[in-house]
Amino acid sequence: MNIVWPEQFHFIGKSRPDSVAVPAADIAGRAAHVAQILRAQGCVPSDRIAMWVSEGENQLAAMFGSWLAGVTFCVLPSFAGRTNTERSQSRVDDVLSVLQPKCLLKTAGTQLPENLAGQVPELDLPTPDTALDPVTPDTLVFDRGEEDIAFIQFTSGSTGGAKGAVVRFGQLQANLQAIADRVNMTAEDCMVSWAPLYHDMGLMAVLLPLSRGAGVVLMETDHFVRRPIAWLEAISRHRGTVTTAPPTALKLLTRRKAKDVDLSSWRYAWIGGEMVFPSVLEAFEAEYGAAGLAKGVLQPTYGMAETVVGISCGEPGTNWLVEDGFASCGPVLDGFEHRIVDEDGTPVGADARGYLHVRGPSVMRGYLGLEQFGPDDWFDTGDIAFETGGRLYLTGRVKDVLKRGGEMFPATVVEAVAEAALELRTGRAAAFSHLRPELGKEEIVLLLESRQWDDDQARMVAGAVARELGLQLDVIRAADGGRLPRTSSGKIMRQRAAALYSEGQI
Amino acid sequence: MTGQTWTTERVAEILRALAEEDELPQHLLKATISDGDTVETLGLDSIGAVALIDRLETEAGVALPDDFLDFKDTVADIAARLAAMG
Repeated sequence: MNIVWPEQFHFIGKSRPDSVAVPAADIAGRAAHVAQILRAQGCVPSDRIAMWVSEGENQLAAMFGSWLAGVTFCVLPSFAGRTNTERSQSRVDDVLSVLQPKCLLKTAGTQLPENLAGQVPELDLPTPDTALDPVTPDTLVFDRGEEDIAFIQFTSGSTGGAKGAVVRFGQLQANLQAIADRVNMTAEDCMVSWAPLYHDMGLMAVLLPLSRGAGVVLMETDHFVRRPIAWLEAISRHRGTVTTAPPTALKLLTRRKAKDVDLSSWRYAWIGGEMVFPSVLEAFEAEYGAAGLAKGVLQPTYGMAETVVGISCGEPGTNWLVEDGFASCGPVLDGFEHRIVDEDGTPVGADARGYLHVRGPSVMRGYLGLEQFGPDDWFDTGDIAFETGGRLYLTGRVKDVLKRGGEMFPATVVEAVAEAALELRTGRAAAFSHLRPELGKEEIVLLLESRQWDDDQARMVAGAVARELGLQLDVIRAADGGRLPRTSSGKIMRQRAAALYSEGQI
Repeated sequence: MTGQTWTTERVAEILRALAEEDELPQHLLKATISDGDTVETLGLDSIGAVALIDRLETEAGVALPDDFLDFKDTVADIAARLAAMG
């Protein structure tokens, strides 16, 4: 793994809103220290470690330190520690039992959430203000082969069980190169990112610039959540050129306008992680045109942790297009083969919708602990797409996953929380997305089978889902007629329920 | 809008207006919203909270910080804080 180090990194957070510059040699020194303490803990190559560290020096040091020690890292997903309910505990246990980490890295003095504490040996990283010996970054050698595992990225399996995408160095390099080539990334670029590193987009936002020696301005995700305009202010102040965000972030900033920002340096933004609607892009472009945002900067992007991060994104400076109300996500990246097929696996004609399959050097070969597949096997993305004029358009999903703000929530998990809140038996709820292009969002709908329905029940469900999952549901009600569609074996048919809902039939 | 008294009912009306515009959950249209309800028990997430802060700011006619709302804030807390800002 070849890292091209910039002179320094910039970090922004609650305790340092104006950003602080940290020499790369300090990060390298910190990484060498992490490698040392991992070895002292008895970690050997092929071991896995978990990280619970906020975006900053220690997160980078923990990533690179793991690689120096030959260890695979996993940045724990957001729900680990979001709440301390029983359900959150079971999801954390699920991740830890799949991951089986040798130890957990955290910053000294930070308190682990209750559901994480005491589960595996904990190692303290020195606080950022602790001086460590700097190390010349180029002397760090990441002696890892293409088949070695770089990291494990947890993703919401549609069944609700934690699934860890196994990303090997060969796949990581292939995807980084394909994306960097697509956008002509160079050492002149500067990435500004607040995306969390447990998310594929966040991890890419750090590794992509470092594959070309570009600058990195890394903001704590919590800082963005509390103050979204800090993101655009950072682009303005640091002359950021590239960044990444879910469409929800654009919506927030169209509503809460950043004032006195100069966005003229900004040349490319990967917009993805959830369905990208043209209305959201248009509104943001209209709002910030006067601040220097050019057309062709916002680029709807499609990808997933299973392909490291990217599958397709637009060519720099090229405007996104609209077909059938959907925004183009650019041509598929070099190195990918793709096909769009019907239910029997037969390729559909040009411009027709179907199931998107991909294969190639960026595609993982399986989830941790689950069946692996070969390099010639097609990977079913679970998404529905069509291709027109060489551009990919995403139109929906067949996997039972809900998305909001770039975060994924398995439908089964949302349903379980709702059923528990109402003391219903399992299999009495169906959660699904309902596209509202005119509002620029995927509405999240939850239908329940309940004999008596009143608004208090909707309130109980809404409160429980917000508390336990941090998710806002748009529509909560009993299914008309009191019944949800089921298979002959009694399983809830979410896609069918979603189709009926669109037609006003349920 | 300034000069109006900030009450639970006024905050509730704003919540309902945002639900009407599909920004906040639909159940808020019909639900009884009372003093003790919190941002969280009403079913809002951080994205919904930003929509609410933005509308409160417009209604109050004063700039509100982005972290004006906490998930544990009650509707009565919100009304009282806005009233205190005069």
